[in-house]
Order: sequence, then C-alpha cells, then structure tokens
Amino acid sequence: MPPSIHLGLSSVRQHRALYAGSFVAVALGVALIAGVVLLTVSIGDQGPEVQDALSLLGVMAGFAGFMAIFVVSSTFSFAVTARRRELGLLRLVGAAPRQVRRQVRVEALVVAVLAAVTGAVLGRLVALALAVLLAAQGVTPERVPLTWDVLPLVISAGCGVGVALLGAWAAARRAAKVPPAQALQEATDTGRRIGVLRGVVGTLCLVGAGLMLVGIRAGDPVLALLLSIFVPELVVVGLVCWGPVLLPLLVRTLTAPVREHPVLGLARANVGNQARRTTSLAAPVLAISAIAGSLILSLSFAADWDQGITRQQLAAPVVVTGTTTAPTAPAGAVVDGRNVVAVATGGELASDWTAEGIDPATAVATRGIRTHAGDLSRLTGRTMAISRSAVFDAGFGLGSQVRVRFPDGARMRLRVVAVVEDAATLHDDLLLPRKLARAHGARPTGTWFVLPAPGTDAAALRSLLTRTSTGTGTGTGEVLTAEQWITRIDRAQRDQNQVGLVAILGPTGLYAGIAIANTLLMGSLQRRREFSVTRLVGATAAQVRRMVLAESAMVATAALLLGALVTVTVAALLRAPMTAGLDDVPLTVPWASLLAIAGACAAVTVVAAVLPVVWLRGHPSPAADHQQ
Amino acid sequence: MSTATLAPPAIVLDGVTRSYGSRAGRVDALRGVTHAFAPGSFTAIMGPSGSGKSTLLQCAAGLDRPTAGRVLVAGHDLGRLDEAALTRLRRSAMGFVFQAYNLLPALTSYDNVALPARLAGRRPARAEVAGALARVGLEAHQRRRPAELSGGQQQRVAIARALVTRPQVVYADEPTGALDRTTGRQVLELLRSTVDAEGLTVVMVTHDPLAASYADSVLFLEDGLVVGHLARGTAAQIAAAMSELER
Repeated sequence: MPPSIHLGLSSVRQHRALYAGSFVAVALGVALIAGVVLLTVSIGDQGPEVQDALSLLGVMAGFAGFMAIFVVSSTFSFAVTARRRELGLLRLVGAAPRQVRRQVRVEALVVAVLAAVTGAVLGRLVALALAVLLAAQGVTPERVPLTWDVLPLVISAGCGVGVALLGAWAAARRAAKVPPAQALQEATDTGRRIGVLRGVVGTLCLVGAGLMLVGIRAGDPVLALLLSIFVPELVVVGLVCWGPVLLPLLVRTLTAPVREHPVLGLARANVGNQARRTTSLAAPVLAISAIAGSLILSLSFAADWDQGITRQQLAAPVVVTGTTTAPTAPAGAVVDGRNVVAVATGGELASDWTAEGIDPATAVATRGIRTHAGDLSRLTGRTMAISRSAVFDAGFGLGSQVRVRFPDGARMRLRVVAVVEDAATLHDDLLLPRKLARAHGARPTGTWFVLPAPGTDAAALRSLLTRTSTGTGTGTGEVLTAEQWITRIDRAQRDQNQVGLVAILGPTGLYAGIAIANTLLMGSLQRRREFSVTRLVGATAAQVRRMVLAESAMVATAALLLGALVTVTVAALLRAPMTAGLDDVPLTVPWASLLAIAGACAAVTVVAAVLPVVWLRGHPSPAADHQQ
Repeated sequence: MSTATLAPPAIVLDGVTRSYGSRAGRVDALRGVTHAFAPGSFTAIMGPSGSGKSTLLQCAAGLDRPTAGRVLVAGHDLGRLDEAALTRLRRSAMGFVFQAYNLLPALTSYDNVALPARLAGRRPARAEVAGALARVGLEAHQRRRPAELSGGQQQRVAIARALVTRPQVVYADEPTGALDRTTGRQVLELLRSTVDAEGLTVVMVTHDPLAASYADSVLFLEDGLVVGHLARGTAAQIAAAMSELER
C-alpha cells in the first residue's frame, strides 16, 4: 500500500471528529438523491401531476447536491487548516507535496465511500417515505411499490463520491502547499490571501452573473425568470470564492461601532482575522438567503405577471369552472370552452405537449389572445400557433412545418401560422384549430369563458347561468366573475409555489445548519489554545461564550445583508420585463416567506453557535492546553 | 530576604497533592508540596521531566485544582473561590507568560496588552498600554499582529500584557524555551528588573540552569516532592545540582 493511502486511512480514523460534518453532508445528499431517483424509476410513466411532483423532488435533490459541495469543501478546508503542523511534519520527514495531496484525497475518498454507502441505504427509506407522502397527498392513487433495482442507488452513491472529491479538491491543493517549516511553528495562516485559481473562478462567476443580470433586464419575461434562478447561484459561488478578502472587510466595516467593546471588539477582531473560518460560516447563510430569497421573489413576481396578463387579456366577465358540460347560455352570448389534447411533435426526438383547440375569433373575443407575429385568423385546417416563450423550447417558429402525432395515432404536418403572446392561465403553449383538435380526441378541461350578448348585463348572465347549471343537474359547475376566477387561479399558483419552496428550503436549510454547526464545532476544537489564552488574560468563561456567539451573529448578519442585496437586485431587474406592456400588474412581496428565511438563517446560526458553546461549558478552562 | 519574610507570603502552597486517574492507574503528579513564596521574590522551579513542576505552577495559579491541600494567592484561598471569583483574582493579581502561543493572533500588540483591562470592563489609558509596551522595548510595534513579530518580540508583548495590570504574581512556564540564547536573556533580564523595581513575585518553571540563575532561589522537584532548595546559585551550581538529581 503506498504510504499516502495508508496515512490517509489511519488519519480518517484518528480525526473522526473533523470529518463528521463531511460524512453527514454526503450521506444526507446521497440519501435524498437516491430516494428521489429510486422513486422516479419506480413510478415510471405517469400523469402530469406526478411529473410535477417528481420534478420538484428532482430540484430538491439538486439543491441538496449543491449544498453538499459547500459543506464538504468547507469541512476539508478546515481539516487542512487544523492540521497544518501535522502536514508540515509530514513534509519535514520527506513527504512530497504530491503525496500530501494524495493523502488528503484518499481521506476524502474514504469518508465519501463510507458516507455514500450509508446514504444509499438511507435512500431506500427516503424513497419509501416519499412514496407514502405522495399517496397521502393524493398525488398518486396508492403507494407506489419500490423497485429493487440497485442502479439508482449506485448512481446516487457515485454522485456523492464525486461531490466529496470535488469539495476536497481545493483543500488537497492547499494541503500540498504547507511548507515543512510549519511543523516548527504555530499556524499563522489566516487565509486572507486567495489562490489565483480561486480568484479567477470567483471573478468568472461574478462576471457571468453580471451578464445574466443584463440579460434579465433586457430579455423576455420567461428567459428572465429562468436567469433569475441561476444568477444567485453564480453570485454565491463568486462571493464565496472572494469571501476571504471581502467578508472580513465587510464585517469590520459593519461592526466598527463596537470596536471598543471588550467582548464584541474581540469577536470583531477574530472574525476579521480568521478569514477562512469567517467565509465557511458565511457561505451557507449567504447561499440560502440569496438563492431562496431570489427564488421566492421571482416566483411571486411571475405569479404577479401571470395575473397581470390574465387581467389585461380576459374579456369574458363570467367564467364557469368544474364542469365538462358546456353551460347553456342565452342566445347571443359567446361560450368559449377550453379543450386540450396531448400531442407529440418532432420525429425521432419527440417531445410531449398539451395542445389546445381554439376557434381563433371566439378565443380572441373572450380571452384577448394577442398575436405577436403571423396571423391567428389563418388557424384553420392543418395549422398551429405557438406561444412566444415556447418557440425557443420547441425549436420551431413561424412558418415551420411541424410533424405531429396525436394520441389516436394520426400523424400529420402542421404549419405554424402565428406566434402569440404568453398567457399561461388563459391558454396552452400550442394552439390548434378547434375542429382538428376535436377530431383527434381533445377533451374539455372544465373551464368555460362566457361573454354576454351585446347589450346584456354580465350580472344577469351570471345569475341565469347559476340557475341553469344547478337546475339542469350538472351540479358540479361553478359560476364565477372573471375577478373571482383570477383570484382563485392566483391563489392556487401561489400555494403551489409555497409547497415547492418548502420542499427546496427544507433540505437546503438542513444543510446550512450542518455546515454552520460543523464550522463552529471544528473551529472551537481548533481554537482551544486561543480560548485558553483569552481565559488566562482574564476573560470569564461566559465572556468567551459571548464572544463566540457574537462572532457568529456578526458573520450571519453580514451574510444575510449580502443575500438580501442579491435578492433585491435580481428582483428589481426581473420586475421590468415582467411589467412591460401590461397596465395592471400587482406587486406582491411575500414578506412572510422572506422574513421566514432570514429568521431561519439567524436561528440556524444561533443554534449552531450555542452548540459548541454548550459543549465548551466546562472546557474553556484557562489550563486546557497546558495539561497534556 | 529578611524584610521579605516579615510580610505575608505572596503564594502559599500547603500540603498540595495532585493525582490523576488514568487507565494505567493513579498518577501522583504532586505528593504534598509545602512552600511559601515571599513577595518580591523570583523563584525558579526545576526538575526532571515528569517531576510535577508544571502541575505545581498550574495549582499555584488556580489553573488546576489540587486533590488535597491548600493554595493561597495574595491571601485568597483558591479552593474557596468559584470560577468567576477565580477569574477576577486572575485579572487583578496574576499575570502569565508561557513558552509560546501567548498572544491572541487576531489582535495587534496594543490590543493584546489592552485586553485584560478591557475584559475587566475598564478602558485602559493609551499611555498605560503604550508605556507597558515601551518598557519591553516594543513601543514601535503597537500595530503589529503576533504573526508579524519574532518569537522574542511576541514574548516581550506577553510580558507587557502580564505586567500592565500591575499584578502581585507572574507565573512563567519555560518563558525562554522557544527563544534563542540572546533573546532569552533579554526576556529574563526584563523579568529580573521588574522584580527588583516593582516588588513583583515571579514563579518560573524552567529546565535551563542559565535561566534559573536569574532567580533569587531555585526549588528542585522530583517525583512530586520538593527535594532541594538553592539560593542565589550560579548557572554552574544549578546545573550541578540538577545533574545530581537526575543521576
């Protein structure tokens, strides 16, 4: 066995505590990913509601992976800093930098493999729990039986190992740079300098994010929405790369007023001096606040935008929902029912769509469909129209001949005659002539837009419809004013967003907690000598505890401020394309959710800071390091 | 010495015993040490490794609690003080200088020296802190952090910090252990002159006869017991006494 591998193995055994955080992070990440993948494979082909649930779970698992990289890299970076003397000694007795690097990577591999195996086993339990949850929520009719296929578990475990090695990569490089002389001196590395590579990656991320921000401002609403989800990630990575330079500066500036306070001033000096520890603490809070904050605001603005469009375009004052039977309207009134059919477009690489059959004149009258290009009135025969935002996704546009297959097996080529403005609440992205859609199996969705006959009153129409729909026994139908309907759709949309956010923020918050607790615990281990010196010069144990708490609070505040800045920037830029060309777009800022995030970050930090402090209760003895 | 014996001792060790339970059985680090350190005295404690000299220092400073026996510092029985009271006593009456790693890495020299007063809830006068640094010859290095100072300079900052609160007792554990001979000598001369000028009591653990020769007297320890005492010894005499012990 090469010495670096042997050393790596025994080092993991010896420094178990140092690697506990990495282990937990990777194991949890693998468990989540494995659970989701396993469930997806087990469910197989299912309806759109299940698909939505699965893609939500997928996003959740993705976030878990993203956060796991953070935790692992900060844990390993810490482990390396904590062991500088030991690594220096290794170099002193003849280890080449390459061997030290390999040793750290072996350590990462050992931790990762153990964690991945544990995670894969746990993944089955996660999948089971999710299956029960989906059934309980009525998303699936009954509990999905889980497959015994091991491939999903192997793949997830592989992801976990990859994530861990990626996270430990930088730490291994840094370990190899420890000079042999380090064995003879106290660690003086405050880590305020960052490597060239780190600087370049950080700068690239920030520049990329800047370009994307310009794109948000200039682009169309859907692209802007997409960018607004990616920008925060880039900004966070960029800021974390530059963190050791940036964060101490920010914290020192923010806390300048407490400079002279004995405990707070000391906390401030520590935060400013220990750049790497500060960055490790700030990273999870920054990540969760920036990403979740932007996501919450973006989704809320998207719902606002949707509502604005609907309000602008919907001409019908009455909407009947919940019945697949057309309401019996008086003569002269226009009834425009939605009916949809699943279609596959393209040849070899087919993609699935829901297409809506419309009568162009009626739909324009009731739903105010706006043509962006082409001529919607030519939507007859073998033709189709497409939403503006779907053009990019679909890969075809005005004038294209699109190969289409219907559920009844019919295949044909349809010519795109119009591109219409987006109105997700009012119509689907693909529009077909109503006759064509009906002929190939289109079914009513249960939503009917009704326009009263010229000269008649909407209220009268509504009461008449209410009477007839209850009178004739279709029963289930409900007659709403346009405004009632819009409100209802909007609320459903926001509720759905909320569920998604909880699903994503749950694991992300958990990770942030692990990362912070880990940093603080390991930091406390590493700082025993520092604490004991602080005690020797006359600090009480309570003052040391207050100092640790103050440090956490300062870093968390700085990180939250940065997160808020990212959120506000993204949201402000996103607002412009979302209100362009619309008269009445509501502005909904979900303060409760945003405050909940800030609160969660603060709570996680305080709890994680209290942990080592409680652990230190007996420990910050002034003699701690003179006893051995 | 005759005047010193009239005043109450600065530190009294009265039958101090310290045992540690370990897997291999009980280890007695100190087995009943009794000694009084006169105020204004500079005492070196020497002995082979494992003789209990570091434990003695820690018990005398209230960093470690004796298994049996009493320790009095400036008239206070340390065993009767709780952790908070002990901390207050430490702030007001004791200073510490250890082999290395004495300073907080995040603070400048000035802030390190000012820290004890600040922790006690007092803002030290600029002149007070600057004066303490000037006394150890580091007035020009106030704004430097420990990482930017040499080992000897760090040790001098530690001494400035130990002295700034005008304590009655300073405990030093191998204060020259990490320094070269010349720098070490400067540090010892500094301690010596403070004892002479300000009537400070210094207890210093060392294994270096030359360092011990700066002290008024040397206490020899072996297997947790005081086995010898030498007043005003030269380095050669001390070395001879040590090798006698280690034989």
